[in-house]
Amino acid sequence: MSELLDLVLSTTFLAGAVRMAVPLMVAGVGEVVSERAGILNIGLEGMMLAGAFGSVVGASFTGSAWIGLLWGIAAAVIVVLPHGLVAIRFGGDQVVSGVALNITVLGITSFLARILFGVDRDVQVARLGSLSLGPLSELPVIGPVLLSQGAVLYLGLVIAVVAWFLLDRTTWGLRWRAAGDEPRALEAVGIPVARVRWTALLFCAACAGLAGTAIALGQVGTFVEGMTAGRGFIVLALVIASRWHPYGVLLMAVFFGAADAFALRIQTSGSEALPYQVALMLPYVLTLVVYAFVARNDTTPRALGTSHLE
Amino acid sequence: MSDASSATTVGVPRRRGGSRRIGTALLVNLLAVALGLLGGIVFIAVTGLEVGPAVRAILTGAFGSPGALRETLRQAVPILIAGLGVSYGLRAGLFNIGGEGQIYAGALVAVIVALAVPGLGPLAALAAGMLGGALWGGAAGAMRAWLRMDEVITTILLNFIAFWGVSYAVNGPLKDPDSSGYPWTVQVDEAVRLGALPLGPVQVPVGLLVGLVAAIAVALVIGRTRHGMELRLVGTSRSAATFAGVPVRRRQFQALAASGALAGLAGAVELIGAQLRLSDFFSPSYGFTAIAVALVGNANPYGCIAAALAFGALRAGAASMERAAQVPVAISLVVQGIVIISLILVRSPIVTRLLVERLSRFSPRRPDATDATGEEGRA
Repeated sequence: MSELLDLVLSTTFLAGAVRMAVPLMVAGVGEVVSERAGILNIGLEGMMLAGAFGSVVGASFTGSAWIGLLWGIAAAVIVVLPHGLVAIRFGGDQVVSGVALNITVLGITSFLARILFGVDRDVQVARLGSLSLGPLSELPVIGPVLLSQGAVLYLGLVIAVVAWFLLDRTTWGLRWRAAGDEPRALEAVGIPVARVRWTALLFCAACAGLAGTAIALGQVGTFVEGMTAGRGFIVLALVIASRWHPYGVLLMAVFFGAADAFALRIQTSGSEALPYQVALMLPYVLTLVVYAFVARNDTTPRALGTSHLE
Repeated sequence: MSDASSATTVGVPRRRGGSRRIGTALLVNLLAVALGLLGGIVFIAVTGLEVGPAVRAILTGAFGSPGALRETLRQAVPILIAGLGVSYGLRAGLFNIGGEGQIYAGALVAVIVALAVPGLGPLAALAAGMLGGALWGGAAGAMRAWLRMDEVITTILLNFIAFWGVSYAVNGPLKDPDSSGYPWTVQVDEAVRLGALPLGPVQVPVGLLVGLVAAIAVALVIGRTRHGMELRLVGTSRSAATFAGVPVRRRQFQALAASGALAGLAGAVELIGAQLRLSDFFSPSYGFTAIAVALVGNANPYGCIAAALAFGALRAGAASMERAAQVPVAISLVVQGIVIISLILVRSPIVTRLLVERLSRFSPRRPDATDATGEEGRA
């Protein structure tokens, strides 16, 4: 037991928790915006997977992790287009469409990975490096935990602030929120609901692509079939737990990132204290427990998941 | 969110203006399947692989020989039974997308019973599988009914917990000591296995009969019992169900537990009828194909049989295509995904309106015609 305690209290563990939290927070901020505008993305998992795959392909073709990042974002944006068509243009079922997106992307990425990288799939690509803030990164505890992380963390924090500012302080955000709460009111004042929802959805897809990139190029350095491993669904739960607020998502993400980091540490350290499979269940169990406490809150955007046809 | 996504009867086509007849529904679903296949072919072509040999390999692998037919039927069994499970939930307005985890949970309990007491025979193993699946589905059901947790999220999270549980079991306590490193159990005893029956030159797996019996049972329960009627009422309108005195939450719980039990049964049948041992690669996404089966089958048990045979052929064909033409088997997931997207698209309010307008020009309306979803017409 003390072995586990030492593990959890170490600086490297805290740094790992923040690193594992990065994709969750970035995707979470995107999903907050999308859901506030009324579009539910059960397909978040698929968008993240597309992002992970696109980033690895981009990085392996060009040798640059930064260009890989752009590819990752582009891939997620491309795969969300059918979902947008179904959900926004045609008024189809958003949940089923999201499930279809997940299945399709799982198929496409596994298929292409097999063709591009071969059966053994052992492609190693350039990874997103960490940002060094000079002497600041040398500070005890806070240096390694917060000030020498991968660049996507800082990008994610900026995105969270931007999302909060847009949502709470601008006309643009007001329209997003109206599209998610009272789309008919928005229509009544002459603003096309579909266009407003498209911007929120594309913003979300870009975030999800960035999140997938953070997993593939920030954590693993290669592509593995289905490597997002349900994180899209964890994000859906933590968006609810954060009550649809970008800052809430940041906090919840670190919490879940800690569970992820713990599982990873147990798995790689070969610890005898706990079978690694049990440790790998933890993030999902934790998500269910937290979700159970927050599921009944009533701040859900009122028009979430409903279609609005002009 | 939980309310928003489940307030509609996901995936079950609704009657719109009485215009949905079996013919229209069939046409719409065949159109979606055709679009999926076309999408798959285009996808293969775009990636620079040869389409001709790939399609030929799929057809040969699915229908080309008695062995191929047997493989198609074998693949159809778990996706039929798990697809019935998805349908059961859909009829109550619940979208159980955790068939994969429930298959693993069912197979785990089934293999434990089959290995511990082989003397009890196959029926005990099947019952054990249903119990395991019911526990897993029921957990999501309880969370849905009493905690208002969206089953679309919980069932997926439960997938991973079930998977790692099985992975622990087959790498640890249940591991075959002579497996030379493979993460699997020993084979179940001869006495527990489901064999195959010869039908002409084709060996028909006994599991298929289990699936057909399950389909009839589900059709009877949903279509002919008070319980089933209440389930459908919950699925159509929860407020109406509450008003009619139906215990909505209990029915939701029961629907997901039953849905899980069917997926668990699928796992048990796959275990004692096909793979004979549990491993941590036991289910090659049967749970996801089951979703496609239920949606294409309109959540109707008999529709599921047809859809399961079609997707069974696709899976068998794609697997043999990977061996013969070096086209990755994952193409079958791509096709399934495109089929579902096409289905949602052609069933969306806008396209439905267009289709109905066009079609009604050719076929005069008959007010007495059966409804698209079969049982609903009799309710």
